[in-house]
Amino acid sequence: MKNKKGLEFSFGWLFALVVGAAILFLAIYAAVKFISSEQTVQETEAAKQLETILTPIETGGEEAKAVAPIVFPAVTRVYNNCSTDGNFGEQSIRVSTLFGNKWQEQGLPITSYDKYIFSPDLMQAKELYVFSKPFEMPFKVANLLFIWSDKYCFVNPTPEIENEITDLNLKNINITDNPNLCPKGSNKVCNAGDYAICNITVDSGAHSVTKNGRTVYYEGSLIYGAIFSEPDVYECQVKRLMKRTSELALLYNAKSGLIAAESEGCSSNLQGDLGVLAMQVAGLTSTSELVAINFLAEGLSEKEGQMKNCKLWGN
Amino acid sequence: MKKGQTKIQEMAFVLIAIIVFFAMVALVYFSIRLSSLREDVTTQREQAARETVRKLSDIPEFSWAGCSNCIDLDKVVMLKERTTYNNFWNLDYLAIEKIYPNRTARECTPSNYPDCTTIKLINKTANYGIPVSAFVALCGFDATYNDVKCELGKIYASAKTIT
Repeated sequence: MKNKKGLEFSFGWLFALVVGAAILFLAIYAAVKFISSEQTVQETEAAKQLETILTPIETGGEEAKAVAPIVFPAVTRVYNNCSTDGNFGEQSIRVSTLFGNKWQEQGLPITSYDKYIFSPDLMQAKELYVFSKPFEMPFKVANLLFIWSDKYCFVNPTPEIENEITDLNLKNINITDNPNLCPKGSNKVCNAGDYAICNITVDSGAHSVTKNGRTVYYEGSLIYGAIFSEPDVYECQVKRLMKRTSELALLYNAKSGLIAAESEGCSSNLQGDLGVLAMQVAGLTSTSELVAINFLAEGLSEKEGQMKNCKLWGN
Repeated sequence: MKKGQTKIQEMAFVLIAIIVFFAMVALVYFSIRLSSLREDVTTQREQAARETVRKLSDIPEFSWAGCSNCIDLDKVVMLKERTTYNNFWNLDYLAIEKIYPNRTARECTPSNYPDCTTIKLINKTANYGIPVSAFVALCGFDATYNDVKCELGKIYASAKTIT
């Protein structure tokens, strides 16, 4: 005899199932949200710690300075973003860590206005290598930070660069006289016109670096920035540096006014040039204008060097 | 009331009690987590303030060339007048004070400089906590001697407070 009753669901069962499912859903949703926000907090803290570590590295006198590599607990992605918005532009870093086989969501950006990080826009490694060098135009503008994780191989660099790399004992950077002797997978940095297999070419005559098919121009310590960073990051950081140069030129101009008022015009002959420099650098649209700006800065430096007292930025 | 209805009512009360219990646990947890997060951020900012004080004499806007721990007071007096630098350093309070030789305390302006003692560059809030401080040499051009003159001073910095 067949049972015609079928499966019997009382209201109590139905109620328990619906409410139980709702509670479970809410619990899972809350847990997922909670884990995600905790991850964001951790990634943001990591980025802030990285920024704090970088501060003492960029602090220093007139010389280049290298430190021990920055080692992360796991393979980490560091995103370097640069913006030219505002009075001084913005530098922000974000971090994302590899957890198991999955990359975590990027943390919140840690923004600073007085740091200039020259690096690829994305670095993925467990170790980062850093060195810093001051940038002058003609007065000191900032200490630049150069960060890389990939291997670089400099083929026949200028003696100045060779000495600097050797003296600072920069990691993951080789110097050779033949690109075929470069370690496998390294970025080969050669002099323009020397070898066709190089990824990055430096034209020390034109003060230019060609990378990823794009040419950017440099002056002074910016050569390392042009080599290590993405051309877009480089152009942006140079524009930010020029904004700072402009503000500093105006500040020195004001200082000159203050000193000149007390000392019958001492240093007032620099005020015109400082004004011109401030105006020219503030309007920089491309790094190709750096040559002209450097020419103006050298003239200013020469004039300041001839002064005996009341120097504005020299010794 | 039927037996079944009573059971449903009991179950509903138990469920509500469970939800309220977990909500309270979550509330307590999040308040503790939030306060620890605030503490972390405050620590990070204090650390940043300490680093700023340490590197202040290296910052081009402050540095005096040729001396590693000297501040160019002529520059700093003029820096105070420049509004473009608002928010440039992530600080709530930044001040420079002349310590020696002794003088009557008064805030520096371009008109009373150098006969003054204090330059408050950043003073965003009255509640900036205990600032980090460091001794420095404050140098500037002295028209009387037509040469450089350095005095003993102190810098104070406090990071952004969290409300």
